[in-house]
Parts: sequence; C-alpha cells; structure tokens
Amino acid sequence: MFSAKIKFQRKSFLLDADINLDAGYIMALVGPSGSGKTSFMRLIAGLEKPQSGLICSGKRLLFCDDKRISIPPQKRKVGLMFQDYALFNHMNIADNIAYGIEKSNRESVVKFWLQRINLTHRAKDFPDMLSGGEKQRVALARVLACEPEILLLDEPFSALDTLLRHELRREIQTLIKDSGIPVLIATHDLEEARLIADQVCIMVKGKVLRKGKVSDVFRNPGSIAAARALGWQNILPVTNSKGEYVFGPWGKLKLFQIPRKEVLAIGIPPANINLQCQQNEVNNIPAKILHVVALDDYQILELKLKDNTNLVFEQKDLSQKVTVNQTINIGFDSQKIKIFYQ
Amino acid sequence: MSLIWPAIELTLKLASLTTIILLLLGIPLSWWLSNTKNHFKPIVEALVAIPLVLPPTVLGFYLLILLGNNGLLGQFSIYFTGQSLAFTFTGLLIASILYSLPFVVQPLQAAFDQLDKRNIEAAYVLGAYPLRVFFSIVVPQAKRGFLTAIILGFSHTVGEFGVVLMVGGNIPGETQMISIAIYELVESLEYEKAHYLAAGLLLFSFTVLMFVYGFNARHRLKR
Repeated sequence: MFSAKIKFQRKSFLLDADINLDAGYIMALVGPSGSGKTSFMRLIAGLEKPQSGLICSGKRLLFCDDKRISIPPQKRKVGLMFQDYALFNHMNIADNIAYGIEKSNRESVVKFWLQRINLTHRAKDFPDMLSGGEKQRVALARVLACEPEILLLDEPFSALDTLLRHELRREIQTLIKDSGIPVLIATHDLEEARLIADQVCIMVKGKVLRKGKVSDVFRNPGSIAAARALGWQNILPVTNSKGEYVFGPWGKLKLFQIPRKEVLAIGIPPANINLQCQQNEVNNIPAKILHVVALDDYQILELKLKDNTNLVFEQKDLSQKVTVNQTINIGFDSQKIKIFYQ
Repeated sequence: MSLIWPAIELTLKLASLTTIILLLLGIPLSWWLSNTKNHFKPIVEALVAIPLVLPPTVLGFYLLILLGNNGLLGQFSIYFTGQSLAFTFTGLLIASILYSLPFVVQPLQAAFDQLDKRNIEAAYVLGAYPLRVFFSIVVPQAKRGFLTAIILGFSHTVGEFGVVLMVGGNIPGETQMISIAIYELVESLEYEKAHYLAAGLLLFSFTVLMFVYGFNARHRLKR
C-alpha cells in the first residue's frame, strides 16, 4: 500500500493532493496541462520537497514534516520514468539499464531486462540510435531493474504515434502487472487512462477533485470541474428547478426524477442528443448548427443554444442531412442526463 | 640559454598549478553560477569576468598592493612565514589564479548550463549519490567544457605578461616567466634567443587552439 498526502506551494501555485494506492494496481492521474501532475510525481520521488504532508510506502515513511523525515531520492525506492525518458545519451543501452543496479548482480539483471524488452541485440547501441518505442522500453526497464516499491510514469506515451501507443500500452501493462507494485501514471489522454488504469484520480489546479474506479469516475465525475477535466463539453448551467423540471437561460428540461437537492448544472453526454426531435416533444431545445466535422462513419456537430451555450454532438446516424447555420430542435433522453448538485 | 630553460620550467609549473587550483575552485563556482537564482549572481559573474576587460597592469597593481608588505594577504603571509607575497612564486600563483579565473569558470558554466538536468534527476532517482552523479553524468556530458576550461586556463597562464610583471617582477628562476624572458632578451638585443621563445609560444598557442576547435567540431559532428 502506498499513500501520499502532500501540500506544496510555489509562488501562486498550491498543490494539495492525496492518493492511496494498492500493490498491483494502476492509477491514472488525469488533468489538464499545468494541473500539477508532474509536480506531484516529483514530490513523491523526492526531487522537490513539500511544505507539509506524509508519504508512506508500505510501513516505510518517505516524508513526514511532523517528524522531520525526508528520505533523499536515492533511498526512496521510487521509480520515476520521465516524460522524455531522460536516458543517458553518453551510455549504451546496457549501461543505462545497469545504472541503478547493485554491482553484485548487475550483469544478470541487465541480461534479464534486455531479453524482457527484446533489445538484447541492441545492448551496445546508444539511445540516439533507438526509435521512440525502443527508448521508452529501455527507460521502463531501467526503472524496473532497480526494483522500486512504487512506479511513477509521467506521460509515458505522449511522444509516440498512435499505432505504437496501442502496442506499447499492452506491453507496458504486462510488465507493470508482473512487477506487482503500485503504479501511478500521469496522463492527459483520457482514452489512455480508461484503457490502462484500474483507478483514476482527477487533478485540476493542484487539487484532487475525484478518485476511484475508472468506470465509476467516468460515469459520475462528481463535480463540474472534474467533468470538464474528463472531457465533458455539454454542461448546461441551471438557474432554478421545479419538480422534475430544471430551468436555465437555454430553456427547460425534464429530468428522470425529482432532484434531491438544489441543482447546479446538468451534463449531457455527446451521444445523448436526438436531432429528429419534434417541437411538441418533451425535452427539446432549439439549436443552431455552428460547425460540422465529418469523420469516417460519424460526424461531430457543434451546436449553439439560444443563450450562446455550445453543445457538441456525435451524429452516428447520418441519414438526417444537416447544414451549417441550420436551426433544428434537439432532444435529450432524460435518463442519461447527469445532474450536478450544489 | 641559461635564461630560457628556467623560464620554461617555471612557466609550465605555474600554468599547471594554476589550472589544477582553478579547476578545484572553478567547478563548484561555475556549478553554483549555473544553478543559482540568487540575487548576487550578476555581481559574482561580473567579478569573475573582470580580468577579461581590465588592463593587466591595473589588476597587477592592486594585487601588488594586496600581496605586498602592507596588504592584507601580504601581512597575513608575513605573520605566518615572515615574508610578504609580492615578488614570490606563491604571489605569482595567486595572481595567475585570479587573472585566469574567467577562462576556466565561463566555459564550465556554459557547459553546466547545457546539461540535461533531467539526466541528473534520473540518476538521483536511480539511487546515485552526488559524487557518482558528478563523475558518471556531469563530467561525460560536460567534457567539452572541461577540456576548453583546462586548455584555456593553462594557455592563458603561459601567455601572461602584465600581471606577472607587476606582481612577480623579473627574478630569474623564481618569477621570470617565458613572456618576461622574451621581453628581457629583446631589451638586451638577443633577438635569436627571443625568437626561440616567441616562436615556441606562437606554435604552442596555435596547437592548443587548433586542438580545442578540432575537438569541438568533432564532438558537434558526433551529436
């Protein structure tokens, strides 16, 4: 079990976050750029010092401001893979992997990891000679060869093309699961977070907004800010409600149940918009089509409501033809409308 | 020839010692300059660079005062050894260190500035302590800077004239360097001997610079 509760201030940026992670589980740390994901990892690794907090790896205390304990990065046994991999360009691949291993078993461990990442034949090559995917595998092997107690991966796939991403994601998942240690992956790629992680932690402006099982968090982000961090674009502000109805400058909508407390906003999944709604139906709002982006088998529509709120809709059924600047009535399935409470 | 060999020997001794001491002082100083955000950084940088713009006689004059009988360092030396530092080899060494300081610190600082700091952090996280990080990451990645600093520090000391004349005077075998020996040979119209020394220095300077540029060009190509 790994846990970290950290407070860190630098100039106007305040990071105040906490996580708990069990061995063998992968947690995705998601959030927009500048939300503090990398700083959080650097603090855990000991490259920065928090103002206050507690970092524990199992029973080992890595940082505790109360007890004035701050273990240096060399002794933390925290494996950190940097976004740009930070391979030592003046050393060959074997020497890179060997760097953190004790002399007594260096040779056998390097041999094992070179085989594991299928790069035995390139042991004497230098990092400059490797492809992006090979560099990433070497960086991961270098970190795992030190047998860390927790693994931190900072945007591990950001420098790779899509095809390689899929391939390496699977490969890395296997390597990580085999190691049986807790893993924290910082990413701004939500699809990546869904595919690779067991748990997700949403961080925005240095604060943890929501954490939990991937399916739970994605289904119910809990707050508007968390929903936005998860890529929800269709969030309509609510000014008041009456019974099952909610009202806003965009019009009125019927919910599937009477809200249990005051509603702040509602969220509409992009696929939950019906373009063929009749004016007399419940839950319809007039909208103007702003942009149409045609993709292979569906198209993305950007719609504008009367209060200038924009909605994004994924039109899967292309039988209904739409044009830019056309005004249509859009409808919603009230069962799928998410409610954000005060 | 009796004038030439002691001057060569003394010059090489002074240049070697100056370079070694400058490396020992210059590495931490340039590391600090490269990494600090301290408000005093520009002041320290300006102090280090002063010998680049100041006439050697000005620097030599103040050093002579500092190292002489009434100077702070001179009195300090008199207290412990009974002798001031002016017109001694030790005085010459101190003067050379100050005069050649920017030629060692600046290339090192530039090399440290270009280091990939992530590499250093990665080494720490992989369990390496600062000394190992320095020798396994910093030195190999900053080797161009180190080589340039060593060569420029050494060759600049070899070519000193103004400062050494002011601080060391012209005592054969003790403070008389090659450049001063040439001056004396020319004054006494011994042009042939002066030629040996002058041409030797010219060849030395050219070889050193060619080596530095050649190494840097090869290193750039490799990258």
